[in-house]
Parts: sequence; structure tokens; C-alpha cells
Amino acid sequence: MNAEQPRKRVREGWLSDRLGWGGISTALAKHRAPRRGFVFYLGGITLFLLLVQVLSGVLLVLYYKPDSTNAHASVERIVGEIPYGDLIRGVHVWASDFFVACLVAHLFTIVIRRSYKPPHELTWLSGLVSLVIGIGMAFTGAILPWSQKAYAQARVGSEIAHNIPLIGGWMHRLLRGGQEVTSNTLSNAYGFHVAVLPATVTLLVGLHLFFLSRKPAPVPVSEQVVDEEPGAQGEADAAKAPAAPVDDDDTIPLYPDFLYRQAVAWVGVLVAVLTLAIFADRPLGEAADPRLSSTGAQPPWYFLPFHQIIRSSPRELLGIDGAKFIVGATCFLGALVVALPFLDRKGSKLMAWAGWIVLFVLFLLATSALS
Amino acid sequence: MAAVAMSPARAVPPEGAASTSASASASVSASASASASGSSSENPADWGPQGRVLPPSMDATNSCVTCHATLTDQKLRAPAKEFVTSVHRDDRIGCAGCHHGDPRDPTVGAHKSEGFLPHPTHAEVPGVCGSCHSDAGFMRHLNSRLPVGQAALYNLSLHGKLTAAGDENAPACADCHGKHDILGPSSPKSPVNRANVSTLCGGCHGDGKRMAKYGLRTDQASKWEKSVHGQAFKRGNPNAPTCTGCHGAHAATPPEASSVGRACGRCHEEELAYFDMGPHSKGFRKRGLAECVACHSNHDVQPASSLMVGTTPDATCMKCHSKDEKPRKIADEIAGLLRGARGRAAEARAFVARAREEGLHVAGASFALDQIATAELKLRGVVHTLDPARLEGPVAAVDKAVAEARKLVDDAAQTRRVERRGYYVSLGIACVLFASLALKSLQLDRRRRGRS
Amino acid sequence: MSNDEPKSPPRRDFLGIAVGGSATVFAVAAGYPVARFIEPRTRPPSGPTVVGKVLEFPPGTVKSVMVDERPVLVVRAADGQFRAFSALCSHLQCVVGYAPERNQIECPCHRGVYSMDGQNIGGPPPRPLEELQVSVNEGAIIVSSVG
Repeated sequence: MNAEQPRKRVREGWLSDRLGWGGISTALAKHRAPRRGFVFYLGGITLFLLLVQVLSGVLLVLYYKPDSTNAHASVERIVGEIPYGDLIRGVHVWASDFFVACLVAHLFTIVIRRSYKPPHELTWLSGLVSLVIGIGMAFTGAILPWSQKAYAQARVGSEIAHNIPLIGGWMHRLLRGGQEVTSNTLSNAYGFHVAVLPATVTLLVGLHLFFLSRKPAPVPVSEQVVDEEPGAQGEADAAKAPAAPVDDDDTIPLYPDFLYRQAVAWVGVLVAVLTLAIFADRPLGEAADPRLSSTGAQPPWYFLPFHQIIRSSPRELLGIDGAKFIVGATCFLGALVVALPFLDRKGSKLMAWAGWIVLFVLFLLATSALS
Repeated sequence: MAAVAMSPARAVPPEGAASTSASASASVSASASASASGSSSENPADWGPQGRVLPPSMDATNSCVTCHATLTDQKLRAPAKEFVTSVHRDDRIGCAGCHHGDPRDPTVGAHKSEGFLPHPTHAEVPGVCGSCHSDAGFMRHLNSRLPVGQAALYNLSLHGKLTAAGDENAPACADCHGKHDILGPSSPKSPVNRANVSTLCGGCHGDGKRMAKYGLRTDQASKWEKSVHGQAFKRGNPNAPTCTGCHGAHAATPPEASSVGRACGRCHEEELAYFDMGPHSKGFRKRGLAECVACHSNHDVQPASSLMVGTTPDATCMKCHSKDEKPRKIADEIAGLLRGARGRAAEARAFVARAREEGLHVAGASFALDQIATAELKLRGVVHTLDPARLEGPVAAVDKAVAEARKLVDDAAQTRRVERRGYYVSLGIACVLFASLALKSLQLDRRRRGRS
Repeated sequence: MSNDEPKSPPRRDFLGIAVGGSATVFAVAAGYPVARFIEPRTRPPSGPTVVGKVLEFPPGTVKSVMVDERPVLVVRAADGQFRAFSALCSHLQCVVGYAPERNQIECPCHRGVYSMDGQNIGGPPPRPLEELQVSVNEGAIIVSSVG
């Protein structure tokens, strides 16, 4: 280190000197990341989208008015009157979809790759809670324009939450900000959307990254190795990943190589979001009028599979109210997912199949909901 | 129980001013003590018609209703039933308010008292109603918001004059308002409610047999229905006039040629003022032509249009001026100005609408469109001066508003073009960043592999 | 782990400059809409405002009303004349108030004093209060907006 410093100072310049960047970059370079596989960038992309959401959201807060009489008009004003308001709202709306998509993709790649298995339980749990909060942010955000669709979503969403075992009543009141869907629901959703949930998710993502840095993701060794030693894979990875300081064909240094690649992905996603925000309009819809029938109200795409199940469920299942049964079953499945690293300690290959199958079923449900 | 309740009433001598005024003053003092401020006068003589006494209340002691309701003769029984919904169902009015008699007498003796009026004749009706409704002092105690003086107005009206002359065809109060089941005009069921006025008037005035005697036309109501007023009324415009809007209600008379302008001008104030500045005002008066009606017609008045002015065969000007050199010239000139302004305004409206359809947000567009509409409205008023020189100002105002709207749209379109260009450039830069980052990471990788 | 690569420095520099340059330009390009977005809108004054009815202002009343979202003092003198002043002190824009016990307009922040016709008669205020036009139409008091 000491020998290197004089030369580095000359090259890196004033700011790096002040920041001690040389030390940081050396430390970062010691971390290894997988060379191959797009899936390893999904988490980073999600984080980047969260940042985009925070930045565009901070701007939108300047003009948004969280009460039922002004909310819709204020969004209309943002879109129509404020310079570049349509762009910034477009970025926020499109990036939120990308965000949820990346969250879900991130989850499924982890399951299919069985990267949840010990010692990654903490990373897994913090990630899952972040996922729930992320979807919560999308849900509360969709209420804020207080359009017909938003109103229907606030009502139906909170009513579905009512069926959650044990905490249903509490969730119901929490989501509605009271017993009924009122102006309070809107200001409540606003508070959660701009303050409570972002703060919580920031904390959790920080923890997630910390856990990840302590127990880095298992680096995939060449496919042959996986096939040859399926049983020993877990321990092999766990032993290998942290201690691989030398260049090899399977890993690259976190800095600069991995971060550069990550930056490529970020800029690519940003270009996609910007292009959609500029050229693909996301209509705001009519202002909410609770007297009108909720025609054509459809949940956001990530709730479509669930929507389809609810829609086609019978009134009663096994003597339990249909909606209650489905929500209960979903919660049970959710609990299984949470417990995955404790149930499947070895990372059974069956889980890869299960992951693909669940993904396929969800896709089928979503498409049938659309038709 | 009824007998017990009735006995004290019977104990009071049925006639005699002293006793009745005593009972009246008792009810007055009761009502005065009920209202905190108290009435301005405790003396019933001050607030009732001279010599008029209030009938007792409409409870069990009102023998009119209790007795008539049991009669088998429908003609005598119906009023007692109908009265239940009447606006006069007030214990200070009651049956005796119109018919007099003594309601405290449970026998036919009730009919024997002085002034008993079982069947007011057609000609008597206005007097009966007017005895209360013309008495401001009395009406104030019943309902301070009701107008008074309808009877006086009615007596001036053609209806009133014919009634006084004994013509039973002409309507008296009850023919329009109803009799025993009379309702207030704000009740939607009342025949004189705004919603029912044209049906009420048209009921007689549309009846050829009835009108034949007076030589009156019968198409007024049906024409009105198709007129701009009738259509506006149908759309629920609260300002659209029905029959009474122009003719008045109680003082209904056909407006004379000289007063037509005043009738129309009650609403079309500006048009009338400009009309009075123009050449027709004097000319029409000299020839006895009805001001507004000469061009716009009356019951079937149609929406005014710029096509009315000009030298085309359909133009209204040509009805009188088809051969006059100077008026023709003026008509052409005004028509040109009007149509030009109108066309430009319509174009501007379409221009703004198109821009909106294209998703262009034009800040202040609604305001600009309102400005155009305001300028056009002004122009339509000034047309009545028939003076092309006076039209120039309003036309210029229309053009200014039109130019303003177009400028707003053009500015918005220009802003959008600039924005779009900026978007393309920025996306291009982002793509360059993407490519250079990708190349950079490839380079890093290649170098590292080369070394290992 | 030495970073000094003697091989092909021009190409390396070119890519580095391309990354840094395009990132900077893009940041500026992205910053422009953001700057325009957060730039506060100035709304045109909404024009003359009805602030009340004559009946609500017996002679000798002073009332605070809002015109164009700014506080305005409407003064009805004993002779029945209406006057309106911006209630913002000409000193540092504190909101002034009427002091009935001394019959003058006072600014509580730095003890500015104005007479009832808006003249600055004491304390730091450098100018009289800004006066607004008042008109009365069919019993309604209308205050024009200035500026």
C-alpha cells in the first residue's frame, strides 16, 4: 500500500486524495463478482430504479396535493402545465413498473438459482421484506392520482387485505386510513408513499447490501462442475466465494469491472425508461367520482394473476368464504417462501423447477386475466 | 271527547264582533308570545282587512271539514278532501277564509252567518282572493315573502277586464291556480309552476274553439316550444322565458308594438341599447312596427345568426329593403364583417381543439376561447346599431382574441418541438454513454483476461 | 494489481473521455428539465376581487381581507369613503395591523407606524403602504390588484 500511494496521488487527483479513494477502490477490488450471467445485475438495476423513483418522486412532491379535492387536478397540472412535468411523471410511472418487474425477476432468479440457501438467510429475508415494501410503494403510488382507477384500487385493495389472517382488520384500517375510503385514505397513502415506505426500504436495502457484502452471492462455477457435484455445490460455493482474490475465468473484481458493467445496465434501463416516458403516454384517467360504477377497473399488472384467481373463485371453498380462502392460501404460500432457506437448506434442484413452474403459472393467469 | 272539546266553543256566542275579536286577539297574543320579537301590532284591526276576522283554527272545532267529509254528494264532499293538500291549509285561513260562515257551529247553522259565500261566481273570485292577497298587512303575517297586489294587476289585464265584464271564458284566479287543492307556485304540481306554465296557457290559447270568439291565433305555445327560448327552457336553462316571462302573469296583456322592446330588453338589455342607437328605432316607431319582433319574430324566435344580415334572398334585411340601394350596401358590409369575424373565430376554435386532440397542452387556451366568445357576444350586440363603423371595434376585438389563441397554440407547438428535439439529443447522448461504458467494460475485461 | 498499463494509452484515454464526457453532458441535459420543472410558476394576478359587502363595513371599520393571496386592509373612513392598502409593511413585508386605541396602522415587527391614509409616519418604513383601487358596485366592495 505504502509503495503505491505516491504514484496514485499523482494520477487520481485532488478529490480522490481527499476521499482516500485509492483505499476504497482497493478494498472494493478485493470483492469478487460473477463474470457471467445477466441475473447478477438485477439487484443493482432494482436499486438504480429505486434511486430514479426517489429523485423523480422528490420532484413530483413539489406540485402534488394530497387531498381528494385537489389531487387529480394537481397531477393534471403537473402533466399539462408545469414544464417537463409530463416527462418527470412519465419517468416515475414507467420506472415504477420496471422497479416492480425487476424486484419480481430478482426474486425468481434467486429461487431458481437457489441462492437463498444458508448462509444467505438474512439477505433473503431483508430482500423479501424490501419486495413487500416495494409493492406497497407501487400500490400507494397508484392511489395518489385519485382517478377512477385509483379509487377502485384503493377500495378493492384494502378490502382484499381485510381477508389476511390475523392482521387483516388492522391492514384494512391502515390502508384506508380509517374505516372507509375517503380523503384520509389518500393522505394516508401519500404519507406512506413518500415517507414511511421509502425510509424503511432504504434501511432494508442498506441491510440487504451489508448482508450481501458479508456473505457474497455464490459465484457460479462452470456448468460442468454444477452437474458433476450437485450435492457438494452448496458448501463448495460458500467456501469458495469469499476467498477468491486471484483473477479467474469465473469472477471479476467488483470494482472497476463489475461496477462498469452494472453502469452499462443502468444506462440501458435509463434509456428505456426515458424513451417510454417520452413516447408512451400513461393516461391519467378521469378524476375519481365514487358515484360512478368502477367500469374497466383493473389492478396493476403485477396483481393480475391474483386478480384472475379472485375473479374466478367460487363463493365458498372448503366452507370458507372464497376471498378469505384465497388470501389465506396466498399468505400461507408467502410464509413458505419466507421460510425457504430454513426448509430447503441444501438448495434442492426441485426448487429451480418449482420456480419456473410458478413463474409460468403466474404468466398464464396474468394473460388470461387480460383476455 | 269531541263533545267535551266542542262545548266551550259553543259556549261562546257565535256572532258578535266583541267575542270574535276576543278570540282573534287571543290567537294573536299566542303567536306574538311565541315569536321572540313580538309582532309590531297587537291590534288585529291593524293587520287584517277592515272588519275581517280570522276564522278559528282548523282542528276538531272546524265543523266544515268534519261535516263535509261525511256527505254523500261528491260535489260537496270533494272540497273537504282536496283541502288537505291546499297551501291554504292554515289555521288562520281555513274554509271560512274564503267562504266565510261559522266553522264553530257543527250544524247547518254554520251556513247562516253573515257573508256566507258557498259558490263565488266567476266574477266574484278575484275579489275573494284579493281580499287577503291585496292586503299587505295581513299577508305579511301569513307569509312575508309573498307578493301582494296581484288582484290590482289582474284587474288591469285583458283577462281581468273580460272577467269583470262577465266573460266566463277568461280565466280568474282559480282557473290558473286551482281551487280547494291550490298549491304554491314553487310546487312542481302547481299548474302555475314554471315547468307547467306553457301547458297552462296553451291549454286555453291553443284551443281553437275557445279562441275563435276573440280572433286569436292558437299556435303560440307550440311555436314557443320550438323557439330558442323554448329549447333553452327544455335544456333546463333557468333564465329561459316561458309565456309569463314576456307577457307577465297577472297583468297578462299582449305587448303593444311600442313595448315589445322593453319586454325583450328585460333580458337582452345590450341589444336593445344598441338597437336604440340605430336607424330602425325611429323608423319602426314611426311606422308602428314592433321593434325586436319585426326581424326576430315573437313566439317562434330562432337563434340569431349572421345569415339574417345581408342581401341574400333569405336575409331578413331583404324583407323590407330588397330594392333600397343604401341599406343593401350597408347590409352587405355588415354581413361581410360579421361572417369574417365569425369564420375566423370558428377557425381559431377548431385550431385549439385540434391542438388539444394532438395532446398539446395549451396553457391559457380556455381563457383565450372565452375571450373570443366574449368578443363575439359584444359583436352580436353591436350589430343592432346597423352601423358598420361601430362594428369595427368589436370585430378588431374578436380578431385580437383569435390572434391571441393562435399565438398560444403556436407557442405551445414550438415549445413542444424544441422539447422533442432536446429529448432526441439527450437520448442520443445517453446512448453514447451506454456505448462508451460498454466498450470500456469490454476493454477492462479483455485486458484482465489477457493478463491472466 | 498495478493499474499502469503501458499498452495503447490513446485508446484507453479516448474511452475514458467518452464515458466522462457523455456522462457530464447527459447530466446537464437531464438537469435542464429538472431545473425548469422546479422553477416556481408565477401566476398572473386574478384581477379585481370582491372582498365583501358595504353592509359589512359600517363607517370607521378596518378589515383584513385577502386579494390575490396577499393581505389587504380595507378601511372605511368615518365619512363613508373606502380605501384599501396592502397590509405588507414597506419596510420588510411584515403584515401590518390596525391599532384602534391609537387609530393608526402599525407594524409589530419593527414598530413601523402608518397613518390611516397609509402614510409612513413613524419607525423604519421608507414608503407609504401600497394603495389599491376600491370600487363599489351594487353593494359589493371590489378591490383591484396592483402589480
